Amino acid sequence: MTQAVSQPGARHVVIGSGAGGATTARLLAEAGEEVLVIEEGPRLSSADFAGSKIDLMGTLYRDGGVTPIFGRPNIAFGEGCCVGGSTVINGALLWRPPADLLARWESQYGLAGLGSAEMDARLAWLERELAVSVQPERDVNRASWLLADAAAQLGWRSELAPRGQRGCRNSNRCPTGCPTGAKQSMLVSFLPAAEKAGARIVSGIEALRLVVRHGRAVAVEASKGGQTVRIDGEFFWVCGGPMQSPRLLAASGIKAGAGLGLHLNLKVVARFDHDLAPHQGTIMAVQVKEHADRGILLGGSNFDPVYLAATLASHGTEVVERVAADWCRSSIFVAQFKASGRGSVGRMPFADRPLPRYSLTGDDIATARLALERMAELLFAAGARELFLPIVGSPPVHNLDTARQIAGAATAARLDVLSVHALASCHSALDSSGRVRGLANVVVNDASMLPEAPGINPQLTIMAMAGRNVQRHLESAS
Amino acid sequence: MNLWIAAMAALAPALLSPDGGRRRKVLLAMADSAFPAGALACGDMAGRAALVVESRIDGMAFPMRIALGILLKLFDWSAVASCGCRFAEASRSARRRHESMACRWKPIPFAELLRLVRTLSLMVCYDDPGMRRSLTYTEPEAQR
Repeated sequence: MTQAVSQPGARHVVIGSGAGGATTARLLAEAGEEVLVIEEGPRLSSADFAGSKIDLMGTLYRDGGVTPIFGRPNIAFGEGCCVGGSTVINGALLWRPPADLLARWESQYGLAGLGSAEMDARLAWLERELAVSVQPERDVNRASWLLADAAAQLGWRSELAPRGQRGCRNSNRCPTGCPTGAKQSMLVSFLPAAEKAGARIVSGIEALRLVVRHGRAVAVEASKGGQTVRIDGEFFWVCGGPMQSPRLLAASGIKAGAGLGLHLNLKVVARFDHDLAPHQGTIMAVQVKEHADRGILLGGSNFDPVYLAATLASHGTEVVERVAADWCRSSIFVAQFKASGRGSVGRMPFADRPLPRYSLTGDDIATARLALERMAELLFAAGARELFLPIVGSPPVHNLDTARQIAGAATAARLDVLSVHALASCHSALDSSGRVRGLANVVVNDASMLPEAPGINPQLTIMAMAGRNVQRHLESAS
Repeated sequence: MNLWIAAMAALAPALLSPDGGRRRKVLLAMADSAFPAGALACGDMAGRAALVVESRIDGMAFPMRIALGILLKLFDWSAVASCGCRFAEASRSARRRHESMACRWKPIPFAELLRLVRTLSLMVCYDDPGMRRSLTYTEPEAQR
């Protein structure tokens, strides 16, 4: 067996640099602790985000943005794999977790303090630090206003979305990194703050497994440029995300990966009679929340010919060419809903890779049909002339009755489903402070520690929960 | 070198002509046939499509990569059989072979792989500066 080369460690080793890892690193470093952050992906700067979108997808995303979640149907999952994690490639939508959700989590899962004033203060601090605000109305793009107006016409509830940004210039490149640095991803916010407080960040290191001795982790074994390295530490914060964290725990002999929760996305392309300039203005500025009680959120999605072609791919090249030829009259919309079932993240046979699984439940299919029907109703009310639904083999739709028929007959196998929010895949292995049961010095502090999918864009919830766990650790250590 | 690559290499001079529109059409046809491997012989843009698809696939789960390897082998065969035409127009015998393989490898999502390759090929095509110019698409940031 090859001997691992020793790499300088730290008292706290944070594995991963996304929303959970960056929050952990900053709070620990600002409390005077010695912190090392290791990140599998590369470190880029805002100036690097101006290039080809498809090249950037290859650089910034794990598996180029198409990690398969196996099931019926197979779901394409996208997550960041770079310094800053998925916060670099998300839409910066920072919704506060509703008070009733936190209260339920506190009572149902024994997560003390979630409904407290302290949690409220932590959320308010995060919102200040990330400059959370709604976009000035003049910046909101036309497609978003169309949604808001149509919602008002139907008597549906819609809201301007809170986003973490300082001086957004509407470059409409959120999914491939903000080239102006306006989006307050961890790359430009919490990680620099952590470094200022003394934390070290090393990119290009993939954690392979924790080395466990007598019920404690003593080091993390990792791969760096093809070489196996060993990084010693006293405390280990596993923040590799919903797929990699359970994979790391499993590789370390700890049972994890059950209870995977998901938000599922269905993308719809709509064509209008008039010019929408869909690439201008802030794209994801409005969310229609009328059906939030069914876990359904409706909104706009980033627009670019690349995304238009990708969204229409299953409709055939002829459709792609026709719609792209007058792209100004089209826009992309997304219906997001919370999956009702639980999946799992196992280990791939003969390969040290996660094997995520989820199959749509009967409830999911019913919710997907309803989400598509409601989206069609909203878009036709907004004046759409033609819709392309994410159902493989479905024809273009020109009226609401046909949309209802087609959506109502959608089956799991024919739904074209994406996800960018996977959560809760380690929760069952953790105590109420995020510590791994049986390993007192290992905390999982990312999306995988949440007890379930929150039904909203989860970044702020993840950061607040990560902050809570760091606080509890510091209190118990003092 | 298999027959398909040889056939594409023979066509390369035409595909490499300055007529970007023709190259785009070839790439779009490839997106329809979901056949990136042959694109390696077809010049800059199509070659880039193949590389992007392959680099994405390099990062994919192990069984998916095996499945795709098999799939591309099958496409080599069917594409030759159909003289490089669209997969949908491939000969019945080729399609029967696909179906029988798909049955044998039932847990492997062939249809999704096809969709993935098609999607990636289209994304590369619409990321191309020439294509974007032809659509008169200008980046919002550049307008400021």
